[in-house]
Amino acid sequence: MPKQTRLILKIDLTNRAFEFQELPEDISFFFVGGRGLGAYYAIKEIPPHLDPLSPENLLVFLPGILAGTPAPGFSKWMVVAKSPLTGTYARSVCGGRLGAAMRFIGLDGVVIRGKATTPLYVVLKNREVLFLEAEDLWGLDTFETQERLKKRHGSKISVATIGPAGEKGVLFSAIIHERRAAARLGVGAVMGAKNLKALVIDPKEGTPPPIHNKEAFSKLVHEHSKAIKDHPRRIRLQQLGTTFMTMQMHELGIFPVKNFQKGCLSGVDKIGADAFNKLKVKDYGCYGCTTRCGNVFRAQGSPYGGTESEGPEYETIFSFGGEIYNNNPNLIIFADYLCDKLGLDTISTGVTIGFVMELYEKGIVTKTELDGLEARWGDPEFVVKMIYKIAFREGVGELFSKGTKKASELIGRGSEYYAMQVKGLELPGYEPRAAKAHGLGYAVSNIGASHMYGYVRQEISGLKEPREVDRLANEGKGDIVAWNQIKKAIEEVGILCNFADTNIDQRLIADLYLEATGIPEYSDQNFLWDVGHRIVCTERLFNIREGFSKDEDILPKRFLTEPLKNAGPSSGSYYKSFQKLLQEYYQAMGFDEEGRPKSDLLTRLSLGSILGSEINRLLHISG
Amino acid sequence: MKLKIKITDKLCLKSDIDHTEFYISTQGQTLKEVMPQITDFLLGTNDENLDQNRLLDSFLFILNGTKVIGKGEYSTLRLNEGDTIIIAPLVAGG
Repeated sequence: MPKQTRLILKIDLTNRAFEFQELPEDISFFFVGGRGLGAYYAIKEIPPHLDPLSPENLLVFLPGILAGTPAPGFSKWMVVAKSPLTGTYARSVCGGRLGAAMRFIGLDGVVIRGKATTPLYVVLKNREVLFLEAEDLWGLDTFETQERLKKRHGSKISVATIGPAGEKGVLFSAIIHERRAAARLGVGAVMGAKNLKALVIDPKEGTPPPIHNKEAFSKLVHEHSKAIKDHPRRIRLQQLGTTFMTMQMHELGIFPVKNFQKGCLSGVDKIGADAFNKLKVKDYGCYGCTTRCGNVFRAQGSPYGGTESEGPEYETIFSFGGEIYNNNPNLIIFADYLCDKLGLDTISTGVTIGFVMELYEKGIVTKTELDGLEARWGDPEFVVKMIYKIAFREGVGELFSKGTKKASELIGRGSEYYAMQVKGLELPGYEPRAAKAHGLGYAVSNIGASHMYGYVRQEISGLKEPREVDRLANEGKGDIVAWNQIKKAIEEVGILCNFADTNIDQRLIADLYLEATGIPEYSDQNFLWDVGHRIVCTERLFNIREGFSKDEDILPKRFLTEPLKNAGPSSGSYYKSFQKLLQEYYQAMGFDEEGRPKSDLLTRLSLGSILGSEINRLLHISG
Repeated sequence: MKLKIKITDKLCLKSDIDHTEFYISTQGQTLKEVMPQITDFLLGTNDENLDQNRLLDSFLFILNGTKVIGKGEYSTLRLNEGDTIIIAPLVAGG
């Protein structure tokens, strides 16, 4: 096995102690880096059945193995933990510069455990680890926190911070870096529960990460950059990010409206790309990225005029647009701004507010129960007040700060039917009935309803690799979901951004991994495919250990029983044989009929030997 | 025989047209064969930024809201009366 060194910093907040550890060679070899290491640490070092907000939960910050190199689009970073929102494995991805900064100071991961007795923040600078008091920062929003820390430690630092929502323990609170978010699954609440206000990386005296074969690596990067310079997809993403997707999804009947009740939003063109273009101020790119898909928009008119927000992306246009029946782009920009500032996930926040609106429409909750507010569809006053109430867990915000699943369990009265979630994670902006592999992907994802766990691009963009997919068909989806999940896991060893992957195929990824590390096996696409498969399986094993089963691999009932309304070409569609799709996926992944990895798969992926025999015993893996 | 064309965002096309829907005629032709009509309508004049090949390379052509026409089908798939083609930017992300 070839030697490679990966350095992990382990921090114990309870004792304000730290230790640098070299990752064992076999772990480094089999899990490679990025998300692979996250999956490994989660199953090995998070104790079973742990309360995610207890000190023993881990908060793992991870760059990919190409972060900080010139490879464009590979400098994202992620946070791994056990999710307080879902109780599952959590991985939440973010852009910006923090991933590159971690690698500049020589780190392949920062594993944080314990809980500080008083609020603090941690500064990493080469081999220095400083535990600094954060009493003066606690309570500040994410923008002001970053500003103050930059004044204190210099403008070159990278900061990952929580806002009031993370401090208060909102179960879908985010970690914010610059104007970007590691948004999903409540990783902000995990950080808040540790009394950790911010992680600061100072790369000023660092050095670029080592590249095994600089000449070959540079050649690959140069050729790729040249090829995408004038590529229409890259140019469009730079022009306006993903706002272009709104009208396309609406035309196809995929854009969810009124909490997934239907597929038609009156005046949707007011929140299309043409409309947002008029509000654009400038664009923005993450470290080393040539796509530069970040866009800053400025709201106009009363009462939001002048507010600037980076984004909103398509998902936020959905969650504060169609989902809540709003076609005012200024409200979307303002809601996006507030969520970033207070440290909230825009998808879960918007979908939770849409959930409240439908409960109010159906008479399941009353004005009195909503602190005297009327939850009318598209009402900007209600939306803004609810964002604050949720972020600070004030009044009715306390109930809905738990997300739609837990809130519906507390409300009862049939409200569960209207909770648009899988395993507790709120759905993103693709109507499952109109894109059935997307929906199957939500159901079987190990982090709940995420579109980024294995984005099924084949359904909506005509991509024919590995094969064409009929988005409305009721069968033939399992293999394509499995393929995308494994492919995504390979990319997140990197960590490659979904928007910067223009012209990047599996061959190029393998070549980049090889030249960066010098590990010959990484040039073998079959080896990398096993790495991706291993990561997804490890994450599934984590969930099985936590008590999740086939019963949780399910979509909300609405999608299984209620034909989609007013959705153009997708009208009338619903899942006619969901269980069949589920079995297709299990078979494609090498799982048994209950959704558990079979023993021969574990052997092939060396998971038994890596994770230990105890795992097999604990999970009762079938033969 | 009419074929309906819908554009999702005018901005994508750098076009000055003030609407997003129009009709062209078809006699069961292929997408490649009706492209001159589409570009004529969109541009009105010769615009070097929007020649046919560039349009075909840069956009998704979605037939009747359900099928993305693959590049290999530009010259083979027949378009008929009552069909709708949605022209959308090639972005698909998340």
